[in-house]
Amino acid sequence: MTRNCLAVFGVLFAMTIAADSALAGRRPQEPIFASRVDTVRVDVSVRQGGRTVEGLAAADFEVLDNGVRQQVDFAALDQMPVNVVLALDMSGSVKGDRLAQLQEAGARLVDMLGPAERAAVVAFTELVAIRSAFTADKTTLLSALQQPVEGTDTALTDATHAALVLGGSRTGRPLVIVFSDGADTASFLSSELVLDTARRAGPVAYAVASVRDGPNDFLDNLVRLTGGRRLEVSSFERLSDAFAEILSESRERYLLSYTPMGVPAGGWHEVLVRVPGRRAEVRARPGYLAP
Amino acid sequence: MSSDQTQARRLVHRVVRYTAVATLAAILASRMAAAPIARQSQPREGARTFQSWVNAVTTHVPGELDELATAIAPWSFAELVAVFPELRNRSWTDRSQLIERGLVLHADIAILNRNASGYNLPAGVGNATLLDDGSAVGQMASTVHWDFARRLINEIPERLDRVRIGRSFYRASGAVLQQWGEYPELTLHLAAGRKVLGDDPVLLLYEGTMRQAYAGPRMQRFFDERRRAEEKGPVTMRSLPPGAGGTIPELPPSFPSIRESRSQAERLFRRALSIDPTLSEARIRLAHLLGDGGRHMDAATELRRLTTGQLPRFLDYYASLVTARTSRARGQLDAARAAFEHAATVYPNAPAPRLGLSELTMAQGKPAESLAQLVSFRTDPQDAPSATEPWWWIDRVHEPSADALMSDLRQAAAR
Repeated sequence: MTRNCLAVFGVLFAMTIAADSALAGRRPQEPIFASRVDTVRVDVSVRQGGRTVEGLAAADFEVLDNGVRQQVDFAALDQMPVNVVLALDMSGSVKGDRLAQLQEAGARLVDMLGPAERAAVVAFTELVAIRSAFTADKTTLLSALQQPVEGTDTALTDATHAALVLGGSRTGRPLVIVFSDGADTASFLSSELVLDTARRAGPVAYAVASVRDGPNDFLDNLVRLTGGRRLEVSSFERLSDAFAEILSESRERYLLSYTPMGVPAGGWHEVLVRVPGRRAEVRARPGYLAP
Repeated sequence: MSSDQTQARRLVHRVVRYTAVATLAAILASRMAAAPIARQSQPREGARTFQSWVNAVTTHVPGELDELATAIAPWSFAELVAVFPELRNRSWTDRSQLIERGLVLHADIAILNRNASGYNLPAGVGNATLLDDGSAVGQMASTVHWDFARRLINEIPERLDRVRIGRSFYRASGAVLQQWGEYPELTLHLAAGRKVLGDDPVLLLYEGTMRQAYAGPRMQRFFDERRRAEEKGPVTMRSLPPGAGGTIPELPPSFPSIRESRSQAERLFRRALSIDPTLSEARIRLAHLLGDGGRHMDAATELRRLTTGQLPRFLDYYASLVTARTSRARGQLDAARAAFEHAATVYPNAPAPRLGLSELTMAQGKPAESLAQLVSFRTDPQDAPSATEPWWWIDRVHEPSADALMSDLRQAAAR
């Protein structure tokens, strides 16, 4: 498997797809995962009562890959450093105090980063500007947050695409936080294409939006397809807490791994993760694309 | 709420909405009615008014706000229309020449007295920027000089002259209004142009482009805001989005959906192409529209019909992006890539082709190349985006441009 696919599909190890025509009901030429296969990594949030459920082991999880129950090899509250892309709407409605509060929220998140963690900054209006590539240098990140962007419109889907691609460019635990206070008015890329990027790219995406904006199908689908969640804030003053909450939550996600067995190798794999016996809220990618 | 109450409420809202239109009509009517009063009370009346106007017209330097143009600029509508009786006494030839130059004078007064927030003229009907999410989506602005110019054209006695002069004027000034997003004024302009020219393919293109803009996210979001405001109760100044308001007509009179707007735009582009099949811009816009509606096969058919040969830069870029999107949607990734790459050579700093290539390469499992395409436009914070990316204003800009058409109009008048 190529390095690209490692980033894109969250598959950990080299893959050999074995053609096995012995399984009943399969076409002879259709490859399936057999004995030497990928290890699939699933980034899972398990929360109950607003808090992460701790202390779960592999045996506590049930994972279905295309409806076939899999053996979970590993499950742990991950210690892998988070690499976060902040994609921030700086359109015409985010000016003055609002812009300052958004920048403060970004700065607080930067301040929370651990020594091994990295961040990148994407600012957008109709223009999508990668203000900082991944770095641990907090001075650089804070400076990037302060740089204004020309324009007044909102290219939300374009910016999301950029953040997902950028986020998937690093190993580790990629996280994308998208903030927008309005609907898309200027993107070149369609939401369908960018949601397809979300399926292919590695990062878990969280969205932060204003309560007053109401439903946003694109953001809802984005977080659903990447196993993240959408937070609504009542005012820009609450952004700082929302960003901090996302970073904390991202550090408290489980990493599961399993070796897919008994399912065709290529194409879209629907993945369902459950924690039987608990009334916990489980969030994970609903699937992955295998080459 | 009972259905009777609901109906009554809707009726009230409708009345309120049309009251706005009626307000404008009343203003216009009052200007007309006020004309005799103005002539009695103002020093500029009758022959003297006419002579002042003729002096301004004949000495006007096209493209400049000269002294007499500046003097004419604050005239009221009543003062302006007071020139008509004397004008009608002139010979046909004199009249046509004066009107041709007068159109440039009044267009220049309107254009050169306008800034980002509207017309800086005392006799304007009103200025309002249509705002959404802090961004200007259009203008509800007007000035008597556009209205007067439209009436001037109707005073051209000879039909062929009227059509020739009217065509140049409406095409140039229509492009200017479209560029500014002055949809209410543009609507009046296009209707008046149709009366003079019949079905002119370029004016049909402009109207289709306006409908295309209505189908776009900026205007749809603005319509949504207005619709929500009306559902809560009669729309007052305070319930309008920030910046909207003034004694101006509500245009469009209803809030057309994406589907309605696309359907109207398609009809107008097809009509334009039936009259002039070589009108490349209409064909590209039609293909764009069809693709946005998911009709990618139809879009591809239109793109194949594009007149071969070198397109002007803007149309070359536009056609390349539409071709790329259409090919991408049809799974023809190599063709999409070639078209995006060509677009990137036409406007090298434009983000749209890079975004298209980034998405395309991501879909092909090449994330490193996908990222490289994005980074290619990441570091030019000093550049004004509007100067580098025509796509953002694709429903405002034409080829030939408004500036080029106005330049032609001015040169023709100066001869």
